[in-house]
Amino acid sequence: MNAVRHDDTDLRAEVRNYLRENFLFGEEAPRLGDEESLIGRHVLDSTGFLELVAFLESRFGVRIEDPEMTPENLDAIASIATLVQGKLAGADSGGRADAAE
Amino acid sequence: MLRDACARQLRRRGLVVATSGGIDSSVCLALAVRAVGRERVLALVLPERDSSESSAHRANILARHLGVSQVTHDIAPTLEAIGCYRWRDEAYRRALPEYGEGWRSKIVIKGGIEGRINHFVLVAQSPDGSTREVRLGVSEYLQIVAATNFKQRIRKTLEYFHADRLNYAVVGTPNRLEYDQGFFVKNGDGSADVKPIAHLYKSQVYFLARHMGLPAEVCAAIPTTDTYSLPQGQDEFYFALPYAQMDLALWALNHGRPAGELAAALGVTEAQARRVYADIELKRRTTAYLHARPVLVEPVSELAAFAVGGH
Repeated sequence: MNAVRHDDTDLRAEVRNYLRENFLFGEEAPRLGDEESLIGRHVLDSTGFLELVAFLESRFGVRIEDPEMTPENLDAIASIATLVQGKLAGADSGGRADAAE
Repeated sequence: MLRDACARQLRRRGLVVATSGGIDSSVCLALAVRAVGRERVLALVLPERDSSESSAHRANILARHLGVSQVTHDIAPTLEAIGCYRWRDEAYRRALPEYGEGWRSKIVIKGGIEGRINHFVLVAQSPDGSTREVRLGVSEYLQIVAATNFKQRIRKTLEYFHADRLNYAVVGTPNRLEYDQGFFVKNGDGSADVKPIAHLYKSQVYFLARHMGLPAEVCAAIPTTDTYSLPQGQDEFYFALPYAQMDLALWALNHGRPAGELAAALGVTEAQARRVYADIELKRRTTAYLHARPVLVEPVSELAAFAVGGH
């Protein structure tokens, strides 16, 4: 797995890009707000969420657990980025204790 | 209505009804007999490997009760040849490598009423009786559904074979809950020439079965998908609540009843009732494509004068 660091802005941009390319066929008008509900904007349905979870798990090497499959975590670009960043930070502190610094 | 639909609107000589032994298809078969007479109705029983014995048994009882001709055609060899079981099991094994010969399985929906996002779990029972549960990834889930959809589509192929052979119309058997919520396979059980109970809530269908004096075994049938090898209620696969409660929730939503009132009637919290309403609306949106006719670039307006049933 690559050890690229993702800050919040990168993550939001990457999630936005994925949603735009996969669910909107490249057309994002009007622009999705970072806090906007993806269900409310009809970007994602229930299969769409499963696709999103598969994308996040394979792209970032994280595992989204069942209790985390909530609208609070997954229904907006900002909350998705927060969820993934939290998981990457957790993996970083455990797996790279002797690196860097 | 059914008589008029058959003879005048569709211009066919009779009706084909595939019966699973479930309440909906049983009521449709009985309605067909009442509408056009038993000599103009053909009942089809189309079991496969995962169908339960009791389903076929109830279908036989009903056909005898109504005195209709019945053709039974085991579709398992067709499903085997077309790859239904092979594609399904390959997806099962991606999710659960131990899965194999002698295992039984079903797909269960999780999430909705707890306020989580709906997702699907494979429940599999090994030959020694132990049960495993794994969450399905999107590609496995879609492949399992696509493979099992062969069952409804092969059945429909046979229904239309007999309909064409006899110049009959095909009766579709969804109730209102299934029709509204898109609980059918496009070009599978969703395909038909006439759907006589699509406006009836499931509880009304049960009432109608008793009203028409159908055999007790039929009236007591529990709704199942009859599609997976472990016993599976429809509510486990598709609906957020058991069907009787789901039926009530749909009625309450359609009649503008506040979530608090539904919550009291169902014995759930108001927040859960609101989630049930939201889930109903979401399913309407996500299944709109199942109802949709093919999209055309522009209407072929010359056909409007010949449209059947207001289409």
